[in-house]
Amino acid sequence: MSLQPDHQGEATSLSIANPKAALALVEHYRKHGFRDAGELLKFIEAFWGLRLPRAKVCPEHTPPAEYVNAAFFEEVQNCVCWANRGGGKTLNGALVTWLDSVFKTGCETKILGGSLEQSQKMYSHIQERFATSSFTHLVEGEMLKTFTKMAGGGSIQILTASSKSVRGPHPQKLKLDEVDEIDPELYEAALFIPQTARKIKASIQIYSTMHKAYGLMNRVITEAAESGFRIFKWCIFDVMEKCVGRDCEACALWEDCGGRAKNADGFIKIDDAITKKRMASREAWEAEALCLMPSQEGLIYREFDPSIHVVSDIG
Amino acid sequence: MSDAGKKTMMLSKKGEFQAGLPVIHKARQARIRQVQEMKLSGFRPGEIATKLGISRRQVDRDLKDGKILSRLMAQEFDQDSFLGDSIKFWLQIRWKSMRDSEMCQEENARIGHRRNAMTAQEKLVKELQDCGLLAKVPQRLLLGADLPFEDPEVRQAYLDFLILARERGEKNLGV
Repeated sequence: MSLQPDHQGEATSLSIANPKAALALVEHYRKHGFRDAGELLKFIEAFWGLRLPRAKVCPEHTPPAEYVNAAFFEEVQNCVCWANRGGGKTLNGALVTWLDSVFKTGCETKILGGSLEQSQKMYSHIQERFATSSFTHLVEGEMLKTFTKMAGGGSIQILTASSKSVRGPHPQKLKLDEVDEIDPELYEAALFIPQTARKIKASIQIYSTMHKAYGLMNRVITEAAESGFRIFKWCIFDVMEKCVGRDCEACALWEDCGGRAKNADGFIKIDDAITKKRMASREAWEAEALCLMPSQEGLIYREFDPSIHVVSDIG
Repeated sequence: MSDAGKKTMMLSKKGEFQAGLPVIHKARQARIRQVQEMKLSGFRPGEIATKLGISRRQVDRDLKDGKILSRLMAQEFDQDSFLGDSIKFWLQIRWKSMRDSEMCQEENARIGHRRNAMTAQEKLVKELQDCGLLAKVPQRLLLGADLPFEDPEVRQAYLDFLILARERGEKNLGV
């Protein structure tokens, strides 16, 4: 683990690597499962170097770690991750997909994005970040461009944004990435995809920002309670790095942060957030970073407010 | 040089006379060491003279000849014996600490003894490496596939170890 100079002055690498130990641990978890949420998060950090933000920064939001745990342990079937841009939605979706495929024998997942490119993003995360050497023996053959067959019967498949592709076999899991970009008709058809099988519960997990005032995401969120979707929401402050030693009064984020970032444990750099805030319009900042309200950009009457401009009776 | 010409004291191993170096009586050698120790302890030359009942001038001479005496002793220094003694010392500490650990009834004290044994072992290895007697250093620390992962503490320790290694920038984790 450390680098020690040997007696001749040359650096000697002392490695802790033994793939057999890692494989043995993965096998243990495949057979016996994870003891609790903490152990799962630690496994993710140890094997992929991914430390999921777990601090509750905004009282009304949920940190990403909570979503990953709830999804993996199937505490929730259908859910929506409403989060900021760059907040790790697609990455977390990829992580949960891979965890399901590896540790739940026979688990099948389909990924549908607003476009094929979006679907591929999630799949690429799996290929490049999560399908590491400790797991490749669990893949049957090779990971193909749009399809991966797992040993034991599971699979991961990305769908093109067409009605034909969503009318096929029924896996247990469906991931909808950037739902605001998905055609509403396609979305309706996709809802019928997942089915419970092999003791693995059917679930639909949706990931998106809400950047359209009257888009599909808006509808999903509005109807979430009725449709049985649990909402996991995190904003830029929930995934921001811990703020240390900055002067709040002089900070450009103070208006929105109010000192909350001092409790954060995420990964987004504060300086990056400040730059984004300065560059973006207020509406875009609120929708894309704070997850507050959909942007009204592009609407004809931006300032139209029904409570002000609509009256029930004239005269 | 005081006492010059009295051929009694040589510090060479075989007792041979070494050209260019003064000869110092054994009795005076003892006093010189005493003067040196008192000087190192913070006494002034005048105080040393009073304590030992000699003149201040004699103290100065003893301090001057003391330097030559030290040089002679350094020439006589047996590095192999010193190294052997040091190795023996750390081996004894390790052995004793392990024995104490085995004999000990109390758990905390037992852990303390084991720590001492580990420290002694580390010191010993370092000493052997520093002097070139131990040329082989570990290239890889292998954790076996037969680790008892059914034990939650073992799993936690293994995961913690991987996380720590990542934080230290280790690339080759075998995961």
